[in-house]
Amino acid sequence: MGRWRTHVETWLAADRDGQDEAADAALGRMFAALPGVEPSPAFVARTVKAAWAARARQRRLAAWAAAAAAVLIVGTAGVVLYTAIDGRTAWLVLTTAASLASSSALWLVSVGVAATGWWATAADAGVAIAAAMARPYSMAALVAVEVVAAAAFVMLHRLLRSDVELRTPRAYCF
Amino acid sequence: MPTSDAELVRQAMAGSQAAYRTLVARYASAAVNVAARLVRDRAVAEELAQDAFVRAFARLDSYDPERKFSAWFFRVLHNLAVDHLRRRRVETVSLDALTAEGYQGPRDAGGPSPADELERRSLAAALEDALGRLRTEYREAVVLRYQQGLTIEEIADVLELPEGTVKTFLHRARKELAGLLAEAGWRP
Repeated sequence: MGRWRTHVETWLAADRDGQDEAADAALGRMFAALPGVEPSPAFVARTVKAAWAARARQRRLAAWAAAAAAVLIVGTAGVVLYTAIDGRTAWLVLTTAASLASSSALWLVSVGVAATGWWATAADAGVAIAAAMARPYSMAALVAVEVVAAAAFVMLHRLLRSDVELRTPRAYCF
Repeated sequence: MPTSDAELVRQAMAGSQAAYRTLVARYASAAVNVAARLVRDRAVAEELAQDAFVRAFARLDSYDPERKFSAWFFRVLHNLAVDHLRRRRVETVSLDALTAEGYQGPRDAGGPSPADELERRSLAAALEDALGRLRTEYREAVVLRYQQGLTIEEIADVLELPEGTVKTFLHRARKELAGLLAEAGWRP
C-alpha cells in the first residue's frame, strides 16, 4: 500500500471516528497529490502592466468625470442663475415698466390733450389779434388809444407831482 | 529577510511597480490555483487571477496592513470567481481535460517511485473529480483550507461568512469527499 492510500485511509478513519483535527490534517496531506496549475511565464509582467494601465485609465476617467462634472455644475448654475435672476429682473422690469407706462401714458395723454387745447386757443387768439391789427382802421384806432393812454399817463404824472409839492414844499418829485 | 506584504503594498501605493511585481509574483501561483479549482478552466483561471490583481491594485488603500494580504486578496478573487460562476454555469470537466489545459506534474518531487506516482495520479484524478462535484461554496472552502492553508477565520473573512458556517461547510465537504472517494474505490 502506497503513501497516498495511507493518507486517504488515515483521513477516512479519522473522519469516521469523529477526530476532526486528525481528519483535517490528513486531508491537507492528501491535497499535496493534486497537481498545481502554474501561471504562464508572462503572467506577472502582464498583470502588473494591466494594473498600471487600469490605474491610468481610472485616473483619466476620474479627470474626465471631474471635468464633466465641473462643466455640468457650472452650466447648471449658469442656467439656474440666468433663469432665476434674469427672470426676476425681467419680472421687475416688466411690472415696473407696465406700471409706469400705464400711469405715464395716461398722464402724457392727458397733458398732451390739454396742451393741444391751450395751444389751439393761443393760436386762435394770436390769429385773431393779428387779423385785427392787420386792418388800417384797427391800427389807427390802436394808435389813437395809445396816444390817449400816453396823454392820460402824463396828466396823471403831473397831478401826482403837484400833489406832493403841496404836502412837502421842499421835496422834489420827478 | 523578504519584504513583508504590508510593506510591498505601501510601496506599490506610492507608485513602485517593482513592489507590486514582487507581490504579484508571490501570490500568482496560489491565485491561479484557487481560481482553477473554482472555475475548472485554466485560461479563465488565469484571467480571473489577473483581474483580481488588477482590482486589488486599484483598491490597495482598503487593505488593512494588520491583516494577511493573502486573505484580503483571496476575497477579491473569490468575488470575481463567484461573479464569473454566476454568469456562466461551468460544466464539471475531468482531470484529463484540466491536464490537457496545462496542469503540471506532481508538486512534491523527491524521487517518487513509478508505483507511488501512479497512485498519486490516481488519487489526484479521484480527488479532482470529487472536488468538481462539490457545491461551489464547499469546494472553495476546501481549496482555501487544504490547498492554500488558510485558517477558519481567514476563510470566513474571504467568503464573508461566520466561522461556524465555514466549519460546517468544511465538515460537510469532507463527508461528501469521503463518500465520493469511496465510490471511486478509495476506501479503507
